[in-house]
Amino acid sequence: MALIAGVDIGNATTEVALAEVHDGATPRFLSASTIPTTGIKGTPQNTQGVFQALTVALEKAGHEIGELDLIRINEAAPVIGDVAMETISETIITESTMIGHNPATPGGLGVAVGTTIRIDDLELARAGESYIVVADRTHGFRAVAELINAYAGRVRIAGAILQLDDGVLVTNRLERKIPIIDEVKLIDKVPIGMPAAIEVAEAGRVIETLSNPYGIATLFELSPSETASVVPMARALVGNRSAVVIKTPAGDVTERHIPAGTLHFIGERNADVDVEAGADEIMRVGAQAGLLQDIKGEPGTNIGGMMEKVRVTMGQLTDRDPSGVEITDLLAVDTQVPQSVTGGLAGEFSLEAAVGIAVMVKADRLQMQRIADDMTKQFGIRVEIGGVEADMAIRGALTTPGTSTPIAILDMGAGSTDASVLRDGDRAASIHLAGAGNMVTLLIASELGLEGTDFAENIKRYPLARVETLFNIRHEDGTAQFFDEPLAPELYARTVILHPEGMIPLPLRQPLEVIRQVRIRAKERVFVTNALRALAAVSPTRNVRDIAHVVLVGGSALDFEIPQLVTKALGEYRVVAGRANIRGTQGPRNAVATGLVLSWEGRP
Amino acid sequence: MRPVEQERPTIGIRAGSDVPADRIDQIGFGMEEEGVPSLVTRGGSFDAAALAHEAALASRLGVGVGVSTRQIVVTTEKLDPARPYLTFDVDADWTHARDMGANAARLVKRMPLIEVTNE
Repeated sequence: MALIAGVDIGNATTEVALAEVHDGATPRFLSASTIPTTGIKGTPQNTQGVFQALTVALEKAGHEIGELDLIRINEAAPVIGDVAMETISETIITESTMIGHNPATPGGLGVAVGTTIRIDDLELARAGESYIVVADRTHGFRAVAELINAYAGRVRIAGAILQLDDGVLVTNRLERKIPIIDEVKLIDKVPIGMPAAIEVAEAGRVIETLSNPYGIATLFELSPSETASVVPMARALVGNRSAVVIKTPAGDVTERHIPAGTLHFIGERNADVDVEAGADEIMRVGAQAGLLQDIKGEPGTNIGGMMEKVRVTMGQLTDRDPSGVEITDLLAVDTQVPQSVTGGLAGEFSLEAAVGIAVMVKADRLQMQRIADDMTKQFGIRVEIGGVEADMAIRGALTTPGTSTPIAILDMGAGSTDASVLRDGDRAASIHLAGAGNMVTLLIASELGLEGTDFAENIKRYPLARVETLFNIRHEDGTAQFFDEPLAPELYARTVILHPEGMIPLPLRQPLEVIRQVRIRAKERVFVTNALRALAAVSPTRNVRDIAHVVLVGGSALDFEIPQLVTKALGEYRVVAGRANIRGTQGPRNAVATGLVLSWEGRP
Repeated sequence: MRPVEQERPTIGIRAGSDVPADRIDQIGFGMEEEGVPSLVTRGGSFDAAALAHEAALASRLGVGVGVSTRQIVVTTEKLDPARPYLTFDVDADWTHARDMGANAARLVKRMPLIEVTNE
């Protein structure tokens, strides 16, 4: 008998399959394990993760590392993925001219126009003129209301801008009601002595005048050319319940287009595409170039900088000169990113066009032999390289009950989406494409304006719910779930992620359905797009329809909805697709590790 | 037949007899800014949780605030009197009184709460 372990080092996880092999018999699998990969795949840092994964699997089976006869590692595909995001438009307010935010409780109703004046300067106000009062946090609601009431007989006070959250309290104490915007954090930056307009909509409604360029033009008597210049500002105010627009002499809001640059595809045919043309055009032109050798960005532009960054990162990771790093695949996705408006006074956001790009870098033949030698030395156990990753994955996938050749597998990981096809009597054909789980996380994070990737990663992995009362939540599908104990105050009335270790409240104002759609669309744009691209590439006829059966493997195949989204999309091509169940027990995990054990031809 | 005069639904604020009126006002302002009316009563107890429970039972909105010189407590009629929903130890610091009032109103409005913590 021999005790052998198959080890698959992936971009995100290291997986082990442990089996005992008796002479002449099929291997008997004892256990499996999955551990996060240490370091970048294909580097000596992987050894530590391999050791951990082996220890876990051996422990489960009641064995010790010394009892191992052989470790088989995969000849990892020499590809590494990276993702980046670049905005291609930007809204800049050159003079502070607008406040467009949604305080929860503004005061009053309607539109007001007047000259901005500090509340302490009201005695200097001229009779007959219309004013907008500005009060900072040193003025409580009683003082503000008293002053406005006192001066209201002499001067016309049309509206007010407050720093504190006092809008309703002030309104309730006024003899004549006026629209009031509150919670303006940077109130010191509000220009004084300038014409301003305020609008507050009824609860449940949005502003209609200040979000309309002609509405602004009417209030400020703008010329046609001035009206054209307020269009980006009006656009940034769309959907708010309240807003302030202040006209300063040089005041202007511009939408600046950042030169996004050109992408050069170098392949069987060279092709160029302007990034501003959008993701669809980028992908169409990229496909025309045929088999790619490299992709370059125009120097001095955003895309040039972005591609350079990828090369430098990848150069450092793989210890190579960045100029020699070749980018062999690219996935572009159009997206909208909330960016804070430069010059806004209340932290306003404006949705800007952006393009998310995932790239695949061809590494030198990864140093797998060196890693194998290292491990042999450290563990004192024979380590051999077991074969090509795609072949091993197919070997493993075929242990799924109900599968047979010809078979195609779609390996959806964190860094790349890979496909391989095996037909009877043929060598497996395979392809590695840029864009997988990490790209989905990036899209979710940037579209929802989340900093870091922790929230986005959890949004990707788990369903959402809304906490409705102290005792119940409503799931995405509309079903209600009740609890015996009251839900924690920090969860109350929020959209939460149903993490297995407890609900995580989201710091987002968007409704649950919006967040859910962002999540689903991110998954579709990466995995459905890549599933079709990858299967077309490995299909003998280059047509997805000519593949009959597809088995989904890899970490992202564990996702609660990605397999369904892919299965549904492939169904339109009459392709039968489903999630693998390696050895009937492992689900979509452990395919390569299992294949490595099964392909061992030695004798115990 | 419609009832001629319906009592306006309010959040109950029930305070111990030794709590100064201007402090209770602060809690009421928090509710007023959120647009939810309140009704102040005085209770015999000095236990904020017990006062809050009484106030919640009396409130048509089912939400009550109990105020002692040491604590502000927000709870609902459905909760165990001994385990109220929100408790804030005021001691000498009444700066968050308005936020506690706002939170009681937000419980009614089903809106996310303001984080109020003792430092």
